[in-house]
Amino acid sequence: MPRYLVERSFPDGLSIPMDASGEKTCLGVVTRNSEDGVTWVQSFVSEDKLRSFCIYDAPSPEAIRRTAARNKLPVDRITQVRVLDPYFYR
Amino acid sequence: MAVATELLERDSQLAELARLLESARGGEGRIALVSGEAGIGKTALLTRFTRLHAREARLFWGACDPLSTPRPLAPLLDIAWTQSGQLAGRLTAGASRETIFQTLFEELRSPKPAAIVVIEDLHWADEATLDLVKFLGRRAQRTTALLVLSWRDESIGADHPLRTSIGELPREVVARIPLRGLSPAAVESLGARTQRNTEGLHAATNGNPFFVTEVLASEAPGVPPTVRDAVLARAARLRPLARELCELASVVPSRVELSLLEAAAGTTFGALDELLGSGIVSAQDGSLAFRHELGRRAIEDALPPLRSRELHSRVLLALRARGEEPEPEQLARLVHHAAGAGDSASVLRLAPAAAEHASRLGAHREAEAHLSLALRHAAELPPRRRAELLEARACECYLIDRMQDGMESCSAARALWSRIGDRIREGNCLCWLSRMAWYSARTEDARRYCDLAVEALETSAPGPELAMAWVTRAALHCSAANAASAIAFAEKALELARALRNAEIEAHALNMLGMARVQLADERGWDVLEESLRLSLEHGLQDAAGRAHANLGMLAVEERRHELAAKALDEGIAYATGRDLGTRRICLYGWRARLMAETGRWAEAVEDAAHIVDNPGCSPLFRLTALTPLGLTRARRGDPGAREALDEALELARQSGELERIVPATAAKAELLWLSGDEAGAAAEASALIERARQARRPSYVGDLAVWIWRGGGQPPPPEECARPVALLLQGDWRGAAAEFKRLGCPYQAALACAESDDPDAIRSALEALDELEARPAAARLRRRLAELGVRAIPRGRRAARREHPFDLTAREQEVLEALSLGLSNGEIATRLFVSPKTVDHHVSAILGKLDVSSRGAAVAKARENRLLSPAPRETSAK
Repeated sequence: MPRYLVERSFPDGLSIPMDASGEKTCLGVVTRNSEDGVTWVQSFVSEDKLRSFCIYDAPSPEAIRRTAARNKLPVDRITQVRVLDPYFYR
Repeated sequence: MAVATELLERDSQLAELARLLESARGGEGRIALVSGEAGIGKTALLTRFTRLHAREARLFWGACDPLSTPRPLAPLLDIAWTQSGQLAGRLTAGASRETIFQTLFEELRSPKPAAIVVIEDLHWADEATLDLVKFLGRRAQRTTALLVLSWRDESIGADHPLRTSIGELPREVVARIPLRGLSPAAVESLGARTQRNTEGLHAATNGNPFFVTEVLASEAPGVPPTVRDAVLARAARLRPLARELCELASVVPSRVELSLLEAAAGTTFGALDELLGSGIVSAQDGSLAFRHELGRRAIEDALPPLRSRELHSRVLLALRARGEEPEPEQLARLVHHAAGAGDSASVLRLAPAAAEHASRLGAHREAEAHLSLALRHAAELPPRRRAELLEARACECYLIDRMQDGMESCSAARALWSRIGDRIREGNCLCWLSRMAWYSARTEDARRYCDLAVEALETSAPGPELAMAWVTRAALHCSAANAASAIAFAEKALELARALRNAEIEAHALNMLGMARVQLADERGWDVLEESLRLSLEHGLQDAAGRAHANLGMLAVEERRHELAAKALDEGIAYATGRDLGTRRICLYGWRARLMAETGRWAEAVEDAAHIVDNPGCSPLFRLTALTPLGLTRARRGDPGAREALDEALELARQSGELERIVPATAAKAELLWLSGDEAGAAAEASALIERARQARRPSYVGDLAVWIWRGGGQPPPPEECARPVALLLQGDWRGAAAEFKRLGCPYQAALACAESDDPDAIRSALEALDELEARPAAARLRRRLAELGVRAIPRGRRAARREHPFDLTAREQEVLEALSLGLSNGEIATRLFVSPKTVDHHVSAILGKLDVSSRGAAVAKARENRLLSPAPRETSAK
């Protein structure tokens, strides 16, 4: 399955609490993603919490946009990516 | 003694089902999707659930057949058996499928106690049952029923038709209930009750409840490696007579009537009690069933081939002894055993009848399977009979969009008719071959077959076959942009069809005539197309109606008559969906995807395209129709995969050789190159095709290419050869072009036209429009352009997170709400949004529901109160 980097902006800042409600939010996203065969691998959030860079496995960019709409998440840009491991050559 | 089959660790699933039933009771029907591997306990869960609610809900329970070719509508037959109502009567009276589906729906809509409808084992479903699921699914919300659908995850691969059916269920009423294995603790507690050592049991079984109980019941030392070994170990303890009975029962899928078992076994005395006592099977309502299908398969698969044939023969004999003429719904069962017994004579007698029955109920996949089976046994048949079977199979293949297989059968049939010397049947086969070759994007072959068909048929007395061959030739001329020749053949076909008083061929011929006229820019063509549609609908001619919708929609998209296109395509899709004309529906989705891409509705465009692109079995022509708008939409949104989709589209289009396919794919590719900054490449791509488009004299084709030659800095053709908006653009009237694109409902092209101006304000407003459309690459070009013009304050773009709508309205519903606030009627809103009034009606009811009001006026008032409306509607500020 192709891997994608999804860039998102959150003008009001992204806040997911580190407690049960945060867990529920994340699991809800995971469940809704799975309906389209989309897997959220991991995300990196900027220090100011205004932007995020998310790694996804998905059948197509449309599947990512569809699940983003269902999860009420913004999408700025989708890029198809491959892994480059700097230590691979050692 | 059977191990107690207690339900462990399923409380949350039971609670979820109860919650869904509660909402169904309140008049909001729901659908629960229960999935999990074989043996995970789907039936056990649903049995418990329905028992818990037996008093407050009516129960409808049906299961799909594990027959090699399932009976059409098997679950519905189950349901009808247990209901005394109208359903059974309608089924036995041979009512139409629509009537039968409608009867069940009415039953579920009644405000009587809520209903639980269970349809089990959908991985085995026949095509008609999947249609029933879609039918009920679309209407579920308007019932007081909880529809529960179950299937085995591991049995549905990526291209299983069930995936499509599930995907089409309305999301807002669907809840997924996936079942997983038991926890180690639960496995241990089961083991403790049998005083067995459970070490390694959870790891070996993954907590699969059926596997666990089989192991515990087998009393064999250690844990058998597979569930099959566990079942066989348990069966091995049976004495010979009981073992024989068990084997006999195993060749009968799902369950076997005791009377049938007795008739086939000769005697069951004593053996039956022992078998029941073993817990491998259980008896219920005069039937015997394995505790689980996995158990049955384990026993059946272990039978040596000759033994299996013998057992199937005995069951077949016993079934046949029941009466002279088998009931139609029993045919599939008889075919299963005839095939298992290797009894060719019986297969040849039963399978074609089973195919006819299945086809009549719309289970075309099953019909095809029965005919293929018959053909495998047909070596000894006389050529005429074999040719008929081949033709029938070709027809079913065509209906389920398996053109390659259809062509193989049709070629074989044609060879036989030729040997027999029946020129008319041969010509008819050639005509079908031509049509299927065309759908396979093999235009040259399609032409060759058509010529041969006309040649064969013109030597005999003129009949419907010849008229149809002329229609086919006209269609090929149309696709080759050879409209004058198309008109000649369409008129010949029309005259003959009218002489023969054949409305179907008349409708087809009119369709071709209208299409060719529109291609020649003859306005009368549109009326002829409408007339063809009217005639098809009036006479209930499904194939002709499908074609009429599709061609009207396609031409209207090409000519940018978007309102007409939306109407024809929406209605066509509704028509084809209601009648399950798969091939037609798919083709319409492709054209609607293009309409959506043209009118800036990206999400809808890719949604429509996905119906085709996600279906790997689709014929190349349909795939191509969807790939172009998919690739174009990706290019416009700046998503990855645009080049791949468009390159594949171009390759398929060139293979078809047809201008109507090549032009859109080429224009899309040129746009992608332009958006990525390769302007010369864009011009070169479009220039390579421009002469062909000019020769065809289609202003829409010339314009679609010319715009990229012009933008790419090449030498475009004279403006007067182009469709109007492009002509204005080429003449330097960007303002006029933008207005024209706007009038046609193409906001994206309108913005690009504005961008040709040197006026920073015009470019800035174009940029705003592109940001609104989330057309990132084009917006980026405009930002660079503004920077070049020395503009400092460049808008940063819409970076706002899509905020949750306070009343959960979709973007589309919000648009409709805005239109309502302007006091527009449904008809006016439909025109403005390029959808059918029916669709608007749908949105309006959704809005009323979500805002919890009962009238349009109240909706607008509530919207104002909650500041849901834009301060200044875009429409007025633009003027």
